[in-house]
Amino acid sequence: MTTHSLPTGRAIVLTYVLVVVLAAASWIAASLGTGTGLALAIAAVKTIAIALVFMELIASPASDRVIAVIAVLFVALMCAGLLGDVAFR
Amino acid sequence: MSFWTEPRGVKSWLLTRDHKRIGVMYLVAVLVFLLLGGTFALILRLSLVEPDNALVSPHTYDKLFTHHGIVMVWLFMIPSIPSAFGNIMLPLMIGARDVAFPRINLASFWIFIAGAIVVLVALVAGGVDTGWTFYTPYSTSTPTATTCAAIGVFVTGVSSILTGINFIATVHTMRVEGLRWRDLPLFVWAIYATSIILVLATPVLGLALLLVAADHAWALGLFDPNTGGDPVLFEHIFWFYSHPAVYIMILPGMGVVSEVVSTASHRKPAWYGAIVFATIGIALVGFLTWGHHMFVAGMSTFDVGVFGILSMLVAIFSAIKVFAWTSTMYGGSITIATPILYVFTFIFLFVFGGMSGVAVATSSLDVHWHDTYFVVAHFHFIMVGGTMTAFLAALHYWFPKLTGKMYSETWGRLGCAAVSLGFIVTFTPQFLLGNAGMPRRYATYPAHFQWLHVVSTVGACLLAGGLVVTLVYLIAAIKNGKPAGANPWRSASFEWRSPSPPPPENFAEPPRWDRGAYDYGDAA
Amino acid sequence: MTSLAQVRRFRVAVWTVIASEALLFSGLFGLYWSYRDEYPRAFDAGVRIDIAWMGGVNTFVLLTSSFAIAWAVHAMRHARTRVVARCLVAVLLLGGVFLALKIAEWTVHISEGVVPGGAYYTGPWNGRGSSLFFTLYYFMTGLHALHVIAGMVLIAWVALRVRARTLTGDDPHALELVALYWHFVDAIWVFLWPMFYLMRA
Repeated sequence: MTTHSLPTGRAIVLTYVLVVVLAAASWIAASLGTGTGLALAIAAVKTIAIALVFMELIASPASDRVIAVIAVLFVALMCAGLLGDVAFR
Repeated sequence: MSFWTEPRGVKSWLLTRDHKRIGVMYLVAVLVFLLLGGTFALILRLSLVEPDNALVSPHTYDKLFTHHGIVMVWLFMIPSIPSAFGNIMLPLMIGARDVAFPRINLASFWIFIAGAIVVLVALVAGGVDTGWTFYTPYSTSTPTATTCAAIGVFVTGVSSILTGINFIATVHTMRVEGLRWRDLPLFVWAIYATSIILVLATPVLGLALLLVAADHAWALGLFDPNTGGDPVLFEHIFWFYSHPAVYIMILPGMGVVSEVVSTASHRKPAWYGAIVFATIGIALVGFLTWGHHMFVAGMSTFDVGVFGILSMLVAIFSAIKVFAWTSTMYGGSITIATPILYVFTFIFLFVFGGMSGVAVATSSLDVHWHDTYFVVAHFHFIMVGGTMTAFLAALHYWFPKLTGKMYSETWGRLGCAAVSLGFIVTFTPQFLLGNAGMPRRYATYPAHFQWLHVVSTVGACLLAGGLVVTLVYLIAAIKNGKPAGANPWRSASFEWRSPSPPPPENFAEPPRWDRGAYDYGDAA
Repeated sequence: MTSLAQVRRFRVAVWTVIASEALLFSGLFGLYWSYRDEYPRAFDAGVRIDIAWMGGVNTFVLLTSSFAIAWAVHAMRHARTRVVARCLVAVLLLGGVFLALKIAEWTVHISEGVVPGGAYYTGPWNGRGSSLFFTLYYFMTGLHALHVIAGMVLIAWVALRVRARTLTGDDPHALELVALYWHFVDAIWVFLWPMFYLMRA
């Protein structure tokens, strides 16, 4: 019950290269002073790559993916609730 | 040959992997804690008979309501139906031999007991006076045994998470052949939804307690205004768990109600799909509403508005369920017995409790009611009028399955009457008290409130009496009750297909899902 | 031999554990973003005080360890047990490097008076919230480090099973599940790194 087959060795290597490149980009962007949004966006892309390929969500049944999505949404919910308080006082 | 006697010996119980034995041990434990928490409440109510409260000092009063809350919430309410009846009934209802991870199930129980012991140590060694809500900065600076209690509750939280993981894995992977998600009994759906909340919300409580303990021990100052900290942020983290926690407490109760309503009416539940939708809806939307506990804490008006609206939303799901239950009973041929009598009490009190919830969710009104007895009445209507009543319904409904005996129906009805009437007399005056301005957690009060307090205390004595009587006749019935058959309620649900009490392996041969759990042969 | 049903059960359970752990950290993330909004200057200063190269190296170390364990899972499915063993040793070594750097970093901070807790903080002062940044820093990286240690214990257990040949290409599931946990631990750091080392105001 999977949409894709398991990640190949090549996919694993490419994902590693991707996340390292993104990390380097993050570092460079930070030294240039580009701020919060970009750093978080890069972090999100790295996490998605890790989740889809290293954690094999791309080849996992729907229930595993649902659990992962819910986890992310709820962390965001917590941050939104607290920030929505402090930022709008 | 039943699970009670096979295998033999105390060690075989203490190290059991049988979900039924683990459930029974949880049941005994939560009943003990119900009595303990109830004793704290009774002392509180007795002390409140006099406006100047000669019975207890103000500081003792603070400890009493804190201990009442901590014991009732974490040692009774949260585990009561899921860990006791969920454990016993879940595998039986899906045709499984046990839960997904029996050894982890056993670990869950002992971790729960360990946490409970640490909590009890805290209560005895100095006590806790912060309220069950552990608000900072008081909780991080009070010299009482707060850290010890926080650690104890943290440990029981670990037990909850393990139970939740176990139940989720069980429902996902251990249904008997042919049992699809859309055929699951409503109690199973309720336990599944509860488990989702258990695994997602309890870690947040874990963090909150960890922060209280660490801050208390090492003066972290994360919520201390002197370091720039904000106590309201602690409240956010605490209620992010504690609001969904109340759905941990009520959803299993609603599952019990669905089962008893269906069995007693000899009809399949009306609007099955809607009830399932509402069950999952409560579990998820329940996470969106926590700020309504903090309307007057100093939150932004933006958050107040958002949480107010979302809190209204969650009531819709409960309303769907009440209409579905009523619809199931309407036109059905109801067999009156103690379980359905408790269900009538549940529906009646839950509706009032729920409506008062919508009332306090209205932020402009809550400004008046917050931290008064009105809120206390609201949540006791749900927690006691709802969850505890459902717990008693479950106890009476599944008693014959568990013990193979039947209790005296006369005593059952008497007990139900005492508990129901006692509850109403205890908590209805508290709506009036709160609305008139009586603050919660106050040991003394102005003299003109006395008559309402006295009425409430009389009710509490009746409620306590009803509970004690109930436990007495149930325990007597274990020994002297008339033998009940495998299915005294003539229910179509799966758990009644096994003998009463079930053998260790649940079913004599692997069951086949050849008809539905609600197949009463009616067309509607 | 783990049956297909058992594998499914364990995988659902591990994903549920991961979701649980994510929620454990969630409140801390919420606190960080709220206090950052309230005290932008103090948080900006805190980020600059944190030792950038250590954070960067640690990020590279963890990402590489994730790659190593993903490679181990891949190799295990092709029954290349020697590769698996080497990868697992690599993960453990990298984990050790991560923890060593962390301890070194904390030691440097402590010697400068940058300690957790407002009461004892004697480090650089950049307005209200200065000590809050570092309290959160210690708490979050500390909690994360605990999870790194837990992950390493699990990986060591798996490595021993590979050595004892009770974990093989036919039954690689324990390794796959432990790998899932390790990737999660890495993912948490993926966010901690910008929060504490990169994002200036």
